[in-house]
Amino acid sequence: MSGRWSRWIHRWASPPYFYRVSRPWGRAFAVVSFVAIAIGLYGGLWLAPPDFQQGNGFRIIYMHVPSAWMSLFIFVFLAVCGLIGLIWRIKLAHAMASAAAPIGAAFTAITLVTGSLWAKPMWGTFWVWDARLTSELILFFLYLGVIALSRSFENPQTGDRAAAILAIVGAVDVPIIHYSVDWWQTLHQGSIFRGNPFDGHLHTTVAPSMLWPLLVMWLGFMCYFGALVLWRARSEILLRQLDTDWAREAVGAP
Amino acid sequence: MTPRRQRMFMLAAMIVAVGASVFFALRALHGELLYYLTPTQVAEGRAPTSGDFRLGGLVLPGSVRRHPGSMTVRFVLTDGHHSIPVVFTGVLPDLFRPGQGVVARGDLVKGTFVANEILAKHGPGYHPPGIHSRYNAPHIPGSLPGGTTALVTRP
Amino acid sequence: MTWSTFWSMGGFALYVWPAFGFGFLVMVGNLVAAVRLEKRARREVREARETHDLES
Repeated sequence: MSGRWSRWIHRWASPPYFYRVSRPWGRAFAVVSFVAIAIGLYGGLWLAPPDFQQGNGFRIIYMHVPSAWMSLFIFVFLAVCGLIGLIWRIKLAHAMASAAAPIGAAFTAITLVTGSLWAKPMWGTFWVWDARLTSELILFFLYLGVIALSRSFENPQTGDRAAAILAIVGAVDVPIIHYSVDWWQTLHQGSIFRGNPFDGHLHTTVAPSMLWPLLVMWLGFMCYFGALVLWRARSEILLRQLDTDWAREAVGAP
Repeated sequence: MTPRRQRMFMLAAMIVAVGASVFFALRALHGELLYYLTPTQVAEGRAPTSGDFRLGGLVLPGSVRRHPGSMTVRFVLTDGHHSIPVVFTGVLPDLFRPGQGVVARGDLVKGTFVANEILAKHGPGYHPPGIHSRYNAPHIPGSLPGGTTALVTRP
Repeated sequence: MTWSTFWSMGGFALYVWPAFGFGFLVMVGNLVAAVRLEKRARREVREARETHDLES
């Protein structure tokens, strides 16, 4: 089984192959992202009705919640790339992780800042040290740690491996953030999705007229990440293959 | 064992070790990580004997009394099983209303919680006005689901 | 929704608009960073070739 996986991973991880196929994929992601974010903003800021308690202040959710989902998703992405990079010694996996980390840090910053801007008028404070906010802040520092670690070695390969290990270990924060609102009594409200998605009992605490722009924004953010991570990974893989023929050919150097 | 398998096992061992240590650390720290205590937890004697702590619950409908000419308000905070009267002088958050969630910071003086800060605790429910949802109020651990409705039927 | 409610966000303009403003500022910043990263990568590939030529 391990052999079949390895062959599959190695075929896709060939840098020249990736460099070639990632461009059209990136373009497609960029188009979907642009359209989805435009529709999501129109739906969230204009079409969705005001909330029964929060009035129009609830609309910060359309920035906050998709960013928060992205901050968790991208850290898992870093950990998976780290595992593939460490076990199969694949440069592309490390390039993808290097490409994704700053995007994840950016989404975490958006989550923290928009959350603060929502909390002030609703809770009555910009910040509290409850388990949800604290674990999300730790995630931000983990992102900064991964970025710093990957750049702090003379040998870039050592940096890639150190960052991968921090990403794998740090991923323990992701379930902690997700379940913090259930495990500890937090000021932050519970999840807007309830129940098990696999037995058909998944339900949401958000009215459909308010929910759809949220999901469309999330689709837009996912595609934004897809486009950006492929774009950045193309540069990161060039930086890891400076003196190869395909890299010179790719940048049009003689 | 191939080097790749060896790396797999090393990483698996690392994940298990880190996961287990974090699990036990969080379990040991559980009480410290709670942002607030519920009235039931206070009744169980989990509040510190001296100094401030945070008390969270729902504002019992019909219990809010404002003192005319002052910024002082009295209300009862409840989780459906136990209730604690609260007194607070200052500016309440906009979302403060009967049946809704509140986290107050202060200490217990002769059975009354004297608060010096009150934050609103919002529930996970988002919907237009005029819709009844059981997520209107935040869920307070140990309380009945359904927030206000459950409270009104359980005085 | 009217234009005046939209701009004032029913009194929450001070919080809603900075939240969206910050979010999109950061997202555009990511794009700028990607452009710069690509320029640096392309330059380094070319320079690697030049040092390679000098050595040989």
